[in-house]
Amino acid sequence: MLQDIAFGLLTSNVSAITGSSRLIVDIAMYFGLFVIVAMALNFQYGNAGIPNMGCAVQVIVGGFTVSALTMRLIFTLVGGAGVQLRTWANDWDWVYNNFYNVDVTNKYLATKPVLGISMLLFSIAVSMVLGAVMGWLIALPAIRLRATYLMIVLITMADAAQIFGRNIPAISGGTLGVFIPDIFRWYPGDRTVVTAVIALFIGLVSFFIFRTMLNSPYGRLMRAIRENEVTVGSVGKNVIGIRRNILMFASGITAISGTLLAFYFSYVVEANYQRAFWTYWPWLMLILGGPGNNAGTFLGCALIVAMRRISIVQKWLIESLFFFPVAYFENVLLGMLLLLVIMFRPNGLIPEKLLYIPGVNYSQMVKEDVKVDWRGAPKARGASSGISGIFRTLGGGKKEAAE
Amino acid sequence: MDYDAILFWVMIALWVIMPAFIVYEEVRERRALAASESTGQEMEAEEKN
Repeated sequence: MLQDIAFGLLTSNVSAITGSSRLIVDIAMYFGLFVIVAMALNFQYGNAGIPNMGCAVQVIVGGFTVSALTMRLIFTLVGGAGVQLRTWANDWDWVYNNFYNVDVTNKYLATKPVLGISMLLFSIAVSMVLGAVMGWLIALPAIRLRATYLMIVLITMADAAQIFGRNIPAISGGTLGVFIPDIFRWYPGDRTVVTAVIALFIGLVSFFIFRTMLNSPYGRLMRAIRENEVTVGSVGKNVIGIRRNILMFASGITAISGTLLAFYFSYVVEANYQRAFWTYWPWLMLILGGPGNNAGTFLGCALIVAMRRISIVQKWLIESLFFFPVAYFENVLLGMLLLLVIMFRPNGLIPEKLLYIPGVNYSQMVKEDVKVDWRGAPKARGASSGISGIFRTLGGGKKEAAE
Repeated sequence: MDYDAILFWVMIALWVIMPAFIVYEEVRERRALAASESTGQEMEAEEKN
């Protein structure tokens, strides 16, 4: 199995994406998608302490943006260009004329690369905005809650989003789903490689954005809120507002992965955006790698995506090694992995390190401060410890003033 | 022209850039933290002396 992958990686001509090359593209695509979600989750939970159990609702916003908005816009533009489409005004026509309309639209898009690319950029931009709006909506009732209640509310919201998609055909075709026009139809090769490159590129860009934000003063403020929000609030910072902003920003980034998944499959159905898949797997990646640092998130993401995809594709091989059915082998394997990590490495494979800011020697600063305190007024410091010490110091101060 | 092959290797390159940068930055930060820690220990030792 591993030899196959290595062989496909090193020697294949990749003139056609098949076999092991297909598996590599598949792993790369899912890695790109999950690295966006996991980095955003690390931004929220690992650094700001917001336990976002509603990642699925943010991803689903991205998918629904493509099926409900982008596709209607494409149909309108293509219809305006004189292409004969069947009616798609009501729910019935929207779902049952979808095959024909998408087929005709694909033929039109085959000669229009600019339209395809602009629709991709439009979808990403709109999904970011709608994801941020969803983050704001989530934050309205939930952000003031304590961690446990916040998690419950967010889980419920993720389920509610899926139920909306299942029961309102105008959004994503209900339980049947809808096909999406292939915006890469102009590309002469395999569409999935293009989407994988775009997903990895956006994953890389989002990594740099999150890294820059975490190294900024705002990142240090986020960590301060995670450690003790009461203290941060007491020095005049708007903790609720900061947490809401973090949730909005991370929601906007997370929604991009839903959009890319829709273009990867050229199909949107609410069942593709299950809570287990888009909330619990990213959480497992975060816990496995170690929350609070990007290296851990990356490692957890890479390990889990590769293990999961390989165990799914090579299930026939795994089945020959065990005496029991392996239908849910990857879930069992990764559930065991979660238990082992929690038992033996609760801080993850790469634990969070101390905060480092280039050019600032913190230990030296701290030690110099301590030196000044201890040498400058050792008796006063010893006397002023605790509430009784405060009164003693005040009393001493009065005596000194009298003298 | 075989665009799939080019994009395939672009994909692999993108896949490699991120971990390479993360490892580079992680090693650099851990070294700087270790240096910072050793500076503090040296100062403590000087104070004791």
